[in-house]
Amino acid sequence: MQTATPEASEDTAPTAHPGALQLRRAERSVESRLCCLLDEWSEAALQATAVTSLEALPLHAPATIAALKLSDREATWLRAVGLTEGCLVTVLRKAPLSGPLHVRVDQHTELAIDRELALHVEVTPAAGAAS
Amino acid sequence: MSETAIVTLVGRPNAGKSSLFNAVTGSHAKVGNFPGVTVDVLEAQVTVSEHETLRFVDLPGVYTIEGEADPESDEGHARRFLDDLSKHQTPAVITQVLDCTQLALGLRLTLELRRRGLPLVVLATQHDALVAQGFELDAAALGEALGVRVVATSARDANVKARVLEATSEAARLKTAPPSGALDVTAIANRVLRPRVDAKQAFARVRARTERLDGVLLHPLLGPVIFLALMTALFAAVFFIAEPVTGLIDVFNQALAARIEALLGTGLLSSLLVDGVLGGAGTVLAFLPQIVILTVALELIDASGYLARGTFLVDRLLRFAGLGGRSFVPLLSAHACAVPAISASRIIRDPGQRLRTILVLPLMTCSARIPTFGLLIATFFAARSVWFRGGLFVALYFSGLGLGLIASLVLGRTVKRTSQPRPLVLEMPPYRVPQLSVVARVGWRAATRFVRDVGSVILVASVVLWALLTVPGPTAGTPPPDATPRVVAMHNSLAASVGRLLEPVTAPTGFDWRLNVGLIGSVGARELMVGTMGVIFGIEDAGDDSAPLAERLREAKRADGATAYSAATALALMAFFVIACQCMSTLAAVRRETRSWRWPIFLFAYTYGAAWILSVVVFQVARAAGL
Ligand SMILES: Nc1nc2c(ncn2[C@@H]2O[C@H](COP(=O)(O)OP(=O)(O)O)[C@@H](O)[C@H]2O)c(=O)[nH]1
Ligand SMILES: [Mg+2]
Repeated sequence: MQTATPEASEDTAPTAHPGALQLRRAERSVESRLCCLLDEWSEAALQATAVTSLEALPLHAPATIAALKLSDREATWLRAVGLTEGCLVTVLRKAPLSGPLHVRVDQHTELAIDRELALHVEVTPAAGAAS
Repeated sequence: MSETAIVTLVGRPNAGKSSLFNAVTGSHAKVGNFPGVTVDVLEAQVTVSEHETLRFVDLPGVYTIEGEADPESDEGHARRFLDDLSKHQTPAVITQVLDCTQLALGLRLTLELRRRGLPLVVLATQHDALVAQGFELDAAALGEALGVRVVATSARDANVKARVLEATSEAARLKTAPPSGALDVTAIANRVLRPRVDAKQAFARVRARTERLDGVLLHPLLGPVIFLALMTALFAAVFFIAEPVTGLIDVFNQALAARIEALLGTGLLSSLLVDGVLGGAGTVLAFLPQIVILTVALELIDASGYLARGTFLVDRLLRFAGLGGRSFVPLLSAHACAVPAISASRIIRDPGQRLRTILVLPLMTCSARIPTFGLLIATFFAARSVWFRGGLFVALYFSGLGLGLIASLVLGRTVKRTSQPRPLVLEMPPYRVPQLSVVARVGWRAATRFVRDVGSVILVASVVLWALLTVPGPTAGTPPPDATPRVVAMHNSLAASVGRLLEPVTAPTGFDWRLNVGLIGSVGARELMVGTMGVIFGIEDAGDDSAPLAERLREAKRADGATAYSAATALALMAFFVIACQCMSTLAAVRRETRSWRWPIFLFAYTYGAAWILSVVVFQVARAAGL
């Protein structure tokens, strides 16, 4: 997620007295935080259709694998096991304490996948997914 | 046809390779329901006709044979084998074992195998499971699409052997290379799988069973509780079921001893037979039931599909300790024996994790420790309730597990070689009802192997120990005043001299020279501890009406006439046995698997050092507590 421009750029200019400077900074930090919030909010609103990670996918909501954001070696291996771009995946359950995910892939295969790894599997939730 | 062709079974983990291998060769490769149970390359010759034999080879499972693979992992082993196959001149057939219920996935591997250019046959197995799901495979259509022979079969079919032999021997004869172009495997799979009218319901029914079971067994709260309960029940069963049987064998041993003494008198020959052979090897043999129970239970966990569920449940805990979910398989099977478990660690893809797993595997309570634990608990806690004794027995198992996790944590900080850790990806197979014949065979094999070991190594070692307890040594001991000449000889023997030499080291642990002789004897194999005790106290007790070993141990005296051992000694000795890697076979396996002497020496040193420290602590604390 993109944050607003860093503070350091203009503040170095020799203007006005310190009090005004401080005020301007405060203003700007509020502004940037608002931007952030807006960003987050819109992303959440989009989530139903946009790309998200397998890890963030709600339980039992089918999705399609969009990309594997992993090293070549790891991605190749995952594809061989059965997690390929275009596959339909459903998260059946998550082990407690951020343990692995139990995932069904394309009807016939079930896998346990490390949660850290699932963060790097991008999926597109299937349209009209029941939740 | 003169040359024997090599028929290599290749396939994804859990595709059913070992089951087919067993069905075709009649030999008994271990059959498991878990990725990568085949850890060593198994092979067997099969006679097809008068002029033709085939050599079947069962490789570890692979998902892909292209791309990088760690040479020391299962995949690496399998690939090396395939690479060698292409290089050599021997006629070879690659036989892909393909699980029909995962057709599209298996076909990807088929494409890779076609590119190898060796004659290829596809054995589409588990067809019975596919039928149960409401589908049928059109093998002819699939064969046509792939350009190779496809046989739809199931390891439980009556005629599976004939059909596999016919197809493979034809391929060996024709030697035609398969076509190697690209194909759309998903489209092919959809085309050749023919649904029955009731396919939808059948599939839903099959899936619902696994889902219902998973709902309970993987439940966030219930799951771990069931898992713990299952482990506890398993270890407790070893204790509760086996105790009476062991008692029975013990009674039988004593009756036999009395017979021998009645027949031969109490001379040296009789002492050799009664004390050396019966006291040593016979005492160990009494622990046969525990070992069979344990092996069968582990096989059931494996073949039912629960093993993968256990992995799912403990992955987080193991990862915290610097291991990973995949370490669970070797860790669990190490409870039977560490040696195969060390080979099984090849299913761990991460080299650092694999090394740490190998180094803590010997801390798991293997079946060779059962005799010592059983004897000490029966001897020094006889007055306690059976629940207390069973609880203590189970606690020993869990302390092995706990100490293993701690050791791994420490090793993770100190032993390097930790690359980028490889996260867990593991197939969760559907639940299956284990095949009774396979389970029975596994149990039978465990029993015969144990009896063979006892009959060979342990028997010889017991007799050698008996001899060392007979020939005089450099220093004289202090036998009790009323001792018979035989007992005096033992106190002055070579073994006793060595045992006394160690007494300054073992004094803080409460072990006297007799236990030290046992500890030295058990450097090679743990079972010898009980064997040695049997020999030593057999000799001490000769002449009296033979009391059980437990009674003799309880009443053993020191030189000054005081009681030699207490519950504190027993606890200290058990603590020693929980940790120390008293097993030459394990050290040899670690050497083989790590290709260096460094790790077995390290393993030996760290476990003996830690064992000594823990037994000192346990002895001193227990004695202070008045035990
Ligand atoms: N229903 C059915 N189950 C099978 C068949 N072949 C193997 N299995 C089961 O599949 C699991 C894995 O088999 P195994 O031979 O160990 O697979 P491997 O990993 O490829 O060697 C075991 O639980 C077997 O009982 C079959 O033809 N039909
Ligand atoms: Mg196998």
